[in-house]
Amino acid sequence: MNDAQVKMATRELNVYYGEHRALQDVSIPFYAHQVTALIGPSGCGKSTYIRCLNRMNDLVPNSRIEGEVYLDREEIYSTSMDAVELRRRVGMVFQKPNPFPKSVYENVAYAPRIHGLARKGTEMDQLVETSLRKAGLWEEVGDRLSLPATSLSGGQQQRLCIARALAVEPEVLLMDEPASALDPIATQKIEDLIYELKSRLTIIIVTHNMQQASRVSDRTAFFYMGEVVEVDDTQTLFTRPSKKQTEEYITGRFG
Amino acid sequence: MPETHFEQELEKLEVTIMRMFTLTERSLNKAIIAMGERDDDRAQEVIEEDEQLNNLEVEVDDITLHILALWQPVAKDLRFITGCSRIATNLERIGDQATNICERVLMLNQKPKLDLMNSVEALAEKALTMFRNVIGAFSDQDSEAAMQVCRTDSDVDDMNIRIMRKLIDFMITENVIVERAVHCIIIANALERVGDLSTNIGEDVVFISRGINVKHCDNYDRFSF
Repeated sequence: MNDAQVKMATRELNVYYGEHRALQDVSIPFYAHQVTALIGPSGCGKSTYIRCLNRMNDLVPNSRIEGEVYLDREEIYSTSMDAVELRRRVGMVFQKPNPFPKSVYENVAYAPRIHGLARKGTEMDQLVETSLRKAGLWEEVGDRLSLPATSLSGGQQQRLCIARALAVEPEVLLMDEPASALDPIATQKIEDLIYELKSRLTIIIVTHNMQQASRVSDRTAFFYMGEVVEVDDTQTLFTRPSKKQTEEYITGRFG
Repeated sequence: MPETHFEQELEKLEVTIMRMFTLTERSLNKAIIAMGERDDDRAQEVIEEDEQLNNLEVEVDDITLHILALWQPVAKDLRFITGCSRIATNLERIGDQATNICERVLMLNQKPKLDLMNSVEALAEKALTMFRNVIGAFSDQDSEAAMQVCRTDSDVDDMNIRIMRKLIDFMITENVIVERAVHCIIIANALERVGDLSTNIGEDVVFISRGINVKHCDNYDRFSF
């Protein structure tokens, strides 16, 4: 069994888009300092699910959520939870790199400035450098901070987005297919980064790449048609899954 | 017909392993007949045919490496591929034991038959039965049948020990049979190794079909499926 502390959890989570039930009674614990991968065929609900974890679905018209989502035992959909503060604590990185049309420096400094995390210029300089170092990007862009972020390569842009997310010191990082638009070298850098970051963060990653899930994660959840079929240690799930549906999906027999 | 390219690759591996099982069974059976019938020609055939098994083991190595590199299999497919790789090694070693037996048979055939050979022939039948049963367990992916093979290994070990004790007693009283008795001990040991190697294969069958590692288990009765 897993002795690690539960950082986040959902309990019987249901999501509706109008009449359509996109998620059905999804209950998953996410352990602190572990990487959990969410896998499943397109349309199975894994992106819908990950977006519930920092209330990104609040912005989707006609959507409705039932069930509970906890961050350190606090219900994130309770009225006392500030959505902006929640998204600082639970950061997100998307499939395609989406840097702001600003300089490398400003991309990282933007959110800390809004949250008032660094007041003096030297504090902000330090925070930008630390964040870029954590994202493994400082060595490559440290002397080009005033360049437009869009002039970086795709892999660098994605790591800049990770640095941007790290700058507000989140406790959980959600990653929705963070390497699917990148080449193998850039993908490997992202995967190495995930491995390093888990000592500081709890990471939840959606991926279509089964090998990536097996390489980077400690636990894996298999979604199918809005339900969680199986959640287990990654090694167990990829060597002897307990459900036939999981076996058929990960061995490429369906999906 | 397999549906996908990957399934075709898996089938190729399975066919190659089944060819190894068939050739190994033929060699072992021939070796035992050669021993019982004191047939030099048959013993010589087994020795010459061993190279086929060696070549097939290399072929299995190539296929498994190819599949692992190109397809990155998981779950039961991964267990099947790694299990087949280990099974191929064990089959090649059983082939080596058949060759060892035949080399000793050729030497024994130059002198009169020892009465104690009857016990060795009984051990041979037991070891051959174990091996045949594990072939069935593999082809049916029957983990219970595989465990049954593992459980009978201790019988083969006991028979081997009894044969050795008898032969040692014999050698003490009749030194004229020492050379033949040594050949018999080597044959009995080879047959005991066939039991061990069949057990290894049985353990691999359990791993492939159930994902449970039962290697080096003291008590196979702990597992039932």
